[in-house]
Amino acid sequence: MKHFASIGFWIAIGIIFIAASLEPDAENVLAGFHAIFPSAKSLAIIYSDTGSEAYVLKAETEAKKRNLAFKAVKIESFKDIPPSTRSLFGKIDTLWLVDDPMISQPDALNYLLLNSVQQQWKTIVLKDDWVRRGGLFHLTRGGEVVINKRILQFLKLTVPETKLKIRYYGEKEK
Amino acid sequence: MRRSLILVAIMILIAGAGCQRITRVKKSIQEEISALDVSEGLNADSTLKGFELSTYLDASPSEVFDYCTRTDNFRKFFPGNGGGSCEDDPEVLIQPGDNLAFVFGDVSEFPSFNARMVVTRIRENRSLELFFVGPIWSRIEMYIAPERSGTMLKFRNMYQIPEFVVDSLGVERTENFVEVIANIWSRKIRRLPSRMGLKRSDSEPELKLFDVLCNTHRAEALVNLPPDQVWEQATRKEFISGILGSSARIEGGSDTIGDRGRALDLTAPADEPVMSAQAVVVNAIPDERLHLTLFLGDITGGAIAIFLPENESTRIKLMFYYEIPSDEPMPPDLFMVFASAQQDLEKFLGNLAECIDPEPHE
Repeated sequence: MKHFASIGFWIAIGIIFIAASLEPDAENVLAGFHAIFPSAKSLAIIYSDTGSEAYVLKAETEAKKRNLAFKAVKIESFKDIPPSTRSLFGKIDTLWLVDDPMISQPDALNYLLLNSVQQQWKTIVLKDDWVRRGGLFHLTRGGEVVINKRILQFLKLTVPETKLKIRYYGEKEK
Repeated sequence: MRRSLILVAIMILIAGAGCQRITRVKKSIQEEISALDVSEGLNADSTLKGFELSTYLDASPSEVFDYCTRTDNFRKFFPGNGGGSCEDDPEVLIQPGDNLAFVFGDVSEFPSFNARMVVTRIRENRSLELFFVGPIWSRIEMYIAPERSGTMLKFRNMYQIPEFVVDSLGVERTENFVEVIANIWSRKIRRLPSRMGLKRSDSEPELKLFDVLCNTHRAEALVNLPPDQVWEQATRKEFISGILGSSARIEGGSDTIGDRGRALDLTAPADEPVMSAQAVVVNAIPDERLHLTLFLGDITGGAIAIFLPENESTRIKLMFYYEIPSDEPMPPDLFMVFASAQQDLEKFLGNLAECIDPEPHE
């Protein structure tokens, strides 16, 4: 019995390790984001899954370290997405889209990215592909920053001199 | 920039389209239906509720399409057979704008209601899209695709249920409403093969319930003229073309753009990347209200203009809504067009009010 408990423990550790390695580290993400967009003052995360909670807590800790106001909004169902998003109108300047089963659905993502840009919010997104879909900022696990040039221009933002490696998406070829 | 002007152009059409009553339907039916379209539009947090049904038919796509587009067959899909035919109804649904009067019979515990069905998009042997205007709005998509030696028929039916209906039915019952309708359709679709003279299918139609996220934008302006004069001005195609200038071209419509069922195309100038848009007037009540269904690329939306008398002036309320694509990313160009939808809507309405009445107003 003790033997099985031990196996269970190591399996759990393995799952946590794999899950953690799939998600970019919250500290690095926020450090990179804040270095490029120091004007950010308040950010929010909308999430549904209890599995996302650990990451949300870490994000909150990192936000507080940088004096950023932080709001986590937990939703129960898909139809909670519009009211939850609207509850943030006028209250934040950045939306962080993390790895969450409901948020990752194509329509939820379309909705959140579109409403973010309409609200002039900056967005931190989980995947490179989400930048192509209308997100503003993504940090790859290799440490590269990906920025959507069209959104950057639409929000009238500029990128300061930085040592970070930046790749722009949507930059018109000359 | 030019593309966003197309969106603005659509807004102009909202105010510009429609001033003639439909003559080919009985006036009494028309008045009754118009009176029932009292919804102010989608609620801010609205999601459309919908269901999808798929079934295999042992017939060719053209046979299925021909069957579904015949008015008398089409009515059989609805509870109470859609209230029977009207002598002026078209026999076959051929083009965007074709429209029929409907009476939805009592469905379970829900009351009956009148509506008008308008074809909004039609692709021969491939798809048929319709909009129902009434106290409850509904949108139907029917997709026809070859499968094995026959055809796969897919129905998608989405509902927007306004606040006052929600209030009278109760939220839980509203949720049930779509399920009740879905089950009725499911039974109708199950009987479809035998109705079409085919062998009855052994398999049950596959039913799926879903939600569609919607975005809405609103703007208001006050014009120092009464509603009939505002309407008269804004319904002239020449007037609208003048406002549009070279930013977009309107095709379709008549000198006075509109009528329920009027279909219009908007295209960008030839030197710009093409983004076409189609509009169909699904409801027009002179001096009062106009409702258009819009197709912007692959995105379905709509626009409503309401003209409210206010002393000797008119308050114009505009609403633009669109459904968020559910299975693929939004095209980047369209994404950017929608990004500034609110500003474009407000700018447009300001320009429109100024062109109609150059005198200073609120």
